Amino acid sequence: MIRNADVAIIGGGPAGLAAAVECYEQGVKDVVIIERDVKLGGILQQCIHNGFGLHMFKEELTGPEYAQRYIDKVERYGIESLLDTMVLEITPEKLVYAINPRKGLVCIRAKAVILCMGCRERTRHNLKIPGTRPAGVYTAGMVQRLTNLEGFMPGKEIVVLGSGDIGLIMARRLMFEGATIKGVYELMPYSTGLQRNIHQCLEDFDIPLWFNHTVINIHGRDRLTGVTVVEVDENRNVIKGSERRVDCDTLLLSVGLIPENEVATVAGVQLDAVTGGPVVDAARQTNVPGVFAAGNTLHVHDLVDYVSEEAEIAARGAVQYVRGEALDTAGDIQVSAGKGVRYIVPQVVNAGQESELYFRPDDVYRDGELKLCAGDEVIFKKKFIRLTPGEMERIRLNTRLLDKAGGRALSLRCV
Amino acid sequence: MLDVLIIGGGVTGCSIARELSRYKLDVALVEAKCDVGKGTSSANSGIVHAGYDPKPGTMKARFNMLGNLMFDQLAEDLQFAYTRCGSYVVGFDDNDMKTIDKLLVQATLNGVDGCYKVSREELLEREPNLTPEVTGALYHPSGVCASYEMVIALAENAMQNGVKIHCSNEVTAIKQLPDNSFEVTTTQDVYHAKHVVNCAGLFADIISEMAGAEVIKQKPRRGDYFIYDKKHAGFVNTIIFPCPGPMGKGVLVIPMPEGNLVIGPSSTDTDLRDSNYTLQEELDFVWNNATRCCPDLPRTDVIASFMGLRSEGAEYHDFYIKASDKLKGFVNLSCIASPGLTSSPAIAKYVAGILRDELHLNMQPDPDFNPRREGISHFSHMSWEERAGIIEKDPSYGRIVCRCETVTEGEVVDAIHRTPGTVTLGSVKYRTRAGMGRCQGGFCTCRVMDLISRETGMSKEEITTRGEGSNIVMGRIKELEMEGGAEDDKEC
Repeated sequence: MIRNADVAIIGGGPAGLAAAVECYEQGVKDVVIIERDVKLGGILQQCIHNGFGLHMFKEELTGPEYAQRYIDKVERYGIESLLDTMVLEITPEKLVYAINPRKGLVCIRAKAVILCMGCRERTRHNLKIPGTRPAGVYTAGMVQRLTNLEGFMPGKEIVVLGSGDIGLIMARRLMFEGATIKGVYELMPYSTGLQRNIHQCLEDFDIPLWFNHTVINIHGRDRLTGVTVVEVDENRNVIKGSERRVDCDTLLLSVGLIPENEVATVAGVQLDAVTGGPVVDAARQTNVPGVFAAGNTLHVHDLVDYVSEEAEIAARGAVQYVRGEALDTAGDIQVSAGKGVRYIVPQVVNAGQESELYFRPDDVYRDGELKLCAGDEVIFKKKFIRLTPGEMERIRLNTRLLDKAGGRALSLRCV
Repeated sequence: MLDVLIIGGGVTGCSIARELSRYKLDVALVEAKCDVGKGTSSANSGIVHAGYDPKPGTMKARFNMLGNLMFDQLAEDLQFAYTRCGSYVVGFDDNDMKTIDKLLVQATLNGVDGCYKVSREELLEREPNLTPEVTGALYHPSGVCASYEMVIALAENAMQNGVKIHCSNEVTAIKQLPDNSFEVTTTQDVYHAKHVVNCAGLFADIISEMAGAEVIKQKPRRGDYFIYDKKHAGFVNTIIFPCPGPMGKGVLVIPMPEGNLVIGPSSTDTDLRDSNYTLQEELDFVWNNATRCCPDLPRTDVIASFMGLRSEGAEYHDFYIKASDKLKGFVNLSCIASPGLTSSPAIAKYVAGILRDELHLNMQPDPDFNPRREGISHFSHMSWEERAGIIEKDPSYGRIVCRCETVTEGEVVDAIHRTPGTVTLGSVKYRTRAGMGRCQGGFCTCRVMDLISRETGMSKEEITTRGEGSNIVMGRIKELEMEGGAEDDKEC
């Protein structure tokens, strides 16, 4: 059975929901959301803490509340959602193959596809931490699901490796539930999560945070009994003699997220080696015409508000594509990450369209200056007090700057 | 009274169990761990060796050659993952090329067909990710299998043909009675058997001594490995061996049948018998040696590391397989190190021969023996038509539980009901591959727990990764504990 759709949206989390709503509001109403879970909302459903929506709604919402704002609109507009449905393959011709227990094989021929699959968590094996393989070593997001959705305690004595946001939030959450948080250990000399989470989740509750520390060994045959932590030097090499054992029954890993792009790769989508997400233009279109990407599939975000914003951009791109109004690629301008900048999304902008550049620095910088260069010429400068890799920044590329660029390749530097 | 009690549910024990199930015999197998294939058989290279390597005249040489020839049929009958992808022993200098010549002669002496030398140019054309420093290679017709899946398949087929398999059942005492039969006490039961076959792997020496049979000197040797994301499938098409040395066959680069690339093992003597403890220095050794053959091995995309222990002979370098001289009716198998997996089908026939010819066990062929085991229907291997068909028959095949390995609810439920022992996350993983992918269970753990709980009635607090003591969660969160408490009060 093949059915047609103007836009197929892969994933019903925050990106997919915002994209669907925006497509509809822009007048493209034949939209279908394909979601593997039995309800919409994605990872927000397990994020029961508050702090969502400050930018988008000027309110402080919980994850489920934030998702519900969009779910209500999806329902009001009558946008179709295929729940309990997993996409297994997307072809370059935009045939989307999925399976569903009741409908069996589902095939959708879409005019445009928006990839909103989110990301997965890095594991201890990605870090190549040796040792035993006991129960009790979990990624923070998995524990968030176990605790918040299913009501189980992963353990009582907890070490957190990495200062990613989910790890910090779960440290506080498990402490509320009576667990002892033995410490949060971060390899880098700075937090990889949001500064506000360091204050609100750790400092306010006297949970110790150790920078320049990592876990190099895991102990316990059946259940975790402890970890070996060490201090590292400025080149992140282990400082000999700094090894110490910390007894614990649970190790929570919050050591980074990886965009989920396995189905995108099969469709022929080219990925950026730094972000792990697709290379996109200002409309968030990938190298495969009519295939767009937004949210954590594209690059990992720290605020859901920006996920929604980016999904709206991708949705407007998909709408233009469906209507045959896509921009002339002759106006394309390459954008690259210069000194001090880890990555920029999008990697290509268009002279004919204002756009938002999302970027992260490669280190913590204080009292410096951002410089946007067209060729050798600095066309924009902005002073900053502090930039950190844990917090994504944005620059608006308006018509005036695009005119100044005059078609030359752009590069952003942080000095 | 059992005819035969087998101690140990690894590849050797399960092969013997299946072999004996061809006959009208009462056979039981006891395994100390919560599932079959949890020791040496679950953490190894999975290689079905050609047989050029063992010293001519040894049991290793004989059973390797015979076992290899039996593998294609075995994999077809039992439906476990296996490919005969072939392998190269690569040389780096004149010395290595001399070793390769010797191995070619040894292959002939061992009765191994299909080995030939390959020039440097041809080798690099077939395996472009090898270092250009290679000087040539020996090709041999080996294969690679998912050894844990093979053990599970053997056990299932044996059970199908009447063998009883009891897991979580550690042997604590063995006594020979005046009528020469055996009384074997385990943590769960007492067994009476005319014959006992000791296949306890790393614990075979302990079991032999416990029974009062021979003192066997075996020493464990560890091997650490890295396993890569399937996206690097095709990095090599054949198994790559360096030239063998005194500590074994060296660090291999292995294209597993399911598409993962594996590098390893290290090879270090140890006192450990029961451990999965990977060590940084062993893993560094693996990396440094594997990159000598394949310098462009990906630096990222390792999805797991693991360690396996194998039991080598401390005194002589061969398998130890014989009926005890001290204890009539007791058969010892020990030191089943590499090529033990390859040899296992041949060893099983040999042990059946010992029981029949030396120990005069009456072995009447069972006309009802069915050599075929239906594997779990792996959704990821199916065509779109097959997928549509199976979902129509059973809608639970339309729900993905493990996204990385595309494992459906239907497969997990099937695996839960096939498990001989207690169902664990591990028993589901080794039967379905749920949790073996790039996210290592981050996505599927909660979902598999839901299904185990639903299908077996176990509470989530009872569910473990690999048996007693490896529980995944430690109780409810506060408000739920309080709810539970309130209910208890009401009951009072």
